[in-house]
Amino acid sequence: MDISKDLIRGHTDTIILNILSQGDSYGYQVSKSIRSLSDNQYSLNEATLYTAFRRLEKIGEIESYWGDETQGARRKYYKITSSGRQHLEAALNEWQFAKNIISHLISGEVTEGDNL
Amino acid sequence: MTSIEMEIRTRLDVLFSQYTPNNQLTEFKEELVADLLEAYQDFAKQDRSHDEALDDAFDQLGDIESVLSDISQQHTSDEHQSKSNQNKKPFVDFSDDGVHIGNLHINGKGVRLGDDIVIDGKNDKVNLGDWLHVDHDGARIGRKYYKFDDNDNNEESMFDSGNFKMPSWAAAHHNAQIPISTQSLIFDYKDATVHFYTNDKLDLITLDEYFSRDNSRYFATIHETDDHISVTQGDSPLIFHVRKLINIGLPKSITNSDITIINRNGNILVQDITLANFNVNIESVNFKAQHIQAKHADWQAHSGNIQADHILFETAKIDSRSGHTKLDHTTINQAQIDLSSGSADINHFTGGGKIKINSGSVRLRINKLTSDLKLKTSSGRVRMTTPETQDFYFDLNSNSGSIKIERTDSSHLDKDTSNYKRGFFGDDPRFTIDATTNSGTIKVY
Repeated sequence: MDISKDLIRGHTDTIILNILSQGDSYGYQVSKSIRSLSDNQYSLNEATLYTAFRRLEKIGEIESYWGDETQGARRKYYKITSSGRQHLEAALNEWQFAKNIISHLISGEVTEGDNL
Repeated sequence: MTSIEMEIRTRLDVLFSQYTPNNQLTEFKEELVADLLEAYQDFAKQDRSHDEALDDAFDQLGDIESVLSDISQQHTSDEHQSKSNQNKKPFVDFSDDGVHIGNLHINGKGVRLGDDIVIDGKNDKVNLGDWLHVDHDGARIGRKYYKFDDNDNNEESMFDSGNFKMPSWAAAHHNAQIPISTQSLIFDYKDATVHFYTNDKLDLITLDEYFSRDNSRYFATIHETDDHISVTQGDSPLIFHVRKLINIGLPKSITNSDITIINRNGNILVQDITLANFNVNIESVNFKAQHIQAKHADWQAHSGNIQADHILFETAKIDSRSGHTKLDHTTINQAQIDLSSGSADINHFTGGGKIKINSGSVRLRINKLTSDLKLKTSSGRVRMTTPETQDFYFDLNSNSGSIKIERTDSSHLDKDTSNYKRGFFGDDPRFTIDATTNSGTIKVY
């Protein structure tokens, strides 16, 4: 089974911020991290990733800089900013709060006492 | 620079060429080069060939064109803003002394852009520093030289913009209007560039022919019977070439008619047409079709190129011999595609039917199956992206070649050997993808 795209879509930014909060990274590596974090159950193609990078950079949650590779092409690295870290923390809290409620809502059994 | 990097850059150049260069796009291209190089190296470990690894690296990019158009649009709007803020002297200035538009100056001395002389009384050529030289014969940009050909490039762009003006080289214009009812239509043009489009008439075909020399024997002849109308190209002198361009406007009432297009060595462009039967018989022709709907299509092509986009056929038979076939946004409920020694690239395919390849290769990306799909190749290579959101059965068989399934999600295999795989994806499969190859390879994504 694949994870529903609708379910995960709203979390793209948080996923990227989480990965960058553990170290600066570049496009292809972030997409590999996503694949391995999800045990190959989910992948973001690079077009989606670049769009998200540009959005996050514009609102100041990440920054970019060019690496100094001596061999091959130069890589563009992304780095989380303090405002990005705040966003990540807030999103994590929101998720912790929401996930139990949602799980109760979509799988919980309604008992007599609940019908007030 | 390695040759792989070179190839990646060349492919990116093609993708980027549609957009006006700006800093952000250049940076983005550099970013992509590094990522694609690494993706290529990863794929090269598992793929069979260099080309496959390169294709796979580009495949995983996703819809990169929407990112590109995003970047280029955003940049233009930024630029407009900054310009309107800092306009001190008028950007456009017309006077007796000359015309100034930004740093483009046109006056009695010639044409200047910034400090570079573009054209003056002595030279009718363009020289911008070291990197751009343009004259009658061609253009050199950096180390690349493009020779201008006087063929049909202009006409094609005119066609794309829907702007049908008389070409500058035309010395004669022949036009005719042909009323139609339900007859089938045959357009037989030996070697001309012919454009088909929908005109604004109710039941009149409009025929506009342009020639570089004026002689009525070049004009098309129109022959009409109860069941068909045929338009046949006029004389074409062998020794002194006559350049010609034909625009054929089809009325809206064409929806129930049949059309047959015949051509050799020419260019055919068909756009925005809805009709009953669409027959094409071409040899060494560049055939391009966009936004076409028909109940049935029958295309026979020999050593030319077929390029079709946004087509919707209930049934279609496409026979292509030693040419390249590219179909995008294609819906064919019952397809019968037969390729011998050419290559095919079929994207966003919806439908089913049979695809047979003799010795060429095919890249097929399926959006949705509406019936079973049978693929057969003798020595070609099949690479197939299966529907993402639809369950299906599969039956893959190779005599002496190999089969590989790259999809990792929820597949159930009943048979699984290196040259036979049978099973299904998902929980509720309905249709079957059946692929067989004799000595080729099948790869499923």
